[in-house]
Amino acid sequence: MRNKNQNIIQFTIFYNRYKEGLYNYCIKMLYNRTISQDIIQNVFLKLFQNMDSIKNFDTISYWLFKTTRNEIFSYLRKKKVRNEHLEYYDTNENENIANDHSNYYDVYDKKELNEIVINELKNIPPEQSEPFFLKEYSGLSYKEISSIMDIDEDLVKSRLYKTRQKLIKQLEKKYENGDLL
Amino acid sequence: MTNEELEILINEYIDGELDKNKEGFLFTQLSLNHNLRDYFKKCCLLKNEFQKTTEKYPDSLDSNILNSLADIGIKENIISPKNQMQKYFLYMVVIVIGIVSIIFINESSINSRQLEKTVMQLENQEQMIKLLINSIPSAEIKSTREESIIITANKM
Repeated sequence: MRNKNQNIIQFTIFYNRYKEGLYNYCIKMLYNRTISQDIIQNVFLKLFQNMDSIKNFDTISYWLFKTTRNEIFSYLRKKKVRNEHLEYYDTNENENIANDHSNYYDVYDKKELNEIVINELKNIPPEQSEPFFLKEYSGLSYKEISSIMDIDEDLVKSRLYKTRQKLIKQLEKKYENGDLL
Repeated sequence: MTNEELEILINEYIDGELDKNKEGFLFTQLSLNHNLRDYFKKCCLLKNEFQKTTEKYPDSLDSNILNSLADIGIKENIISPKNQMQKYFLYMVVIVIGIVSIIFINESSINSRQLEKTVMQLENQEQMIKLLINSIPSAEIKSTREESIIITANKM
């Protein structure tokens, strides 16, 4: 049994280690800063309240990303945005999201390559790009990502590959003259 | 191995998931295949560019979360005296139950001793009665007629 002070120290370590990754994962999934901040706040409050019940801190990153994902989908269900997202998965059209949050990527206007990456990510269905976000921000293994998303490990691998392929293609298009590298 | 399979190996390497045994093979292929080297460079570039899109964690969120945690701490402090009262009350109840059970045990042991005494007394009295009965002298009744009838009492 850990005492209160140990829990606070552990919490502070986890908070500082994972806050940025979780926040960015959330933003990339929702394209909304305010909602992302609310979700991150809830996740860390849950972590603080459950510090006693978490027995194995080795899997804390898995716990945090899984909880964040649950919060994201719970929000989407509540707001009935989920249907729009599912529709979006099928039609591969994300204009609604892009239009709703058109100002979100203004920050990256001056960064050409970043802009290409961001814009292309908007065109990739969330279910395909999510493993990419999880991999980049959490550093979790394919197995852990497959468990979080409740999909097959090979599917995680394949989605990561396809996402990278699409992003690389866009980068190549931008630099057709060969000055990409 | 096809180009796509080799590209998947590069993806695995970038994700830190490539089997150590396959690393040598991958590097050999990279040294031989110009297109593969190109793809590897693009993957690295993409990783770097994606990292640049990472947003800074807002300070306001830091303070919001810290305030929320402080609220939880205050709530715990407000709740804790109540819990302590409940604890003390439970201790009191346990102590009272303990005292009452000790009294009951004591009482029952006294009663059992008294019962034993009474039983002993009864046994003694029974023996006394037997002794008294035995101590009565035997009585003989003789008839005066020819056919004698003898009745003897107290012959054990």
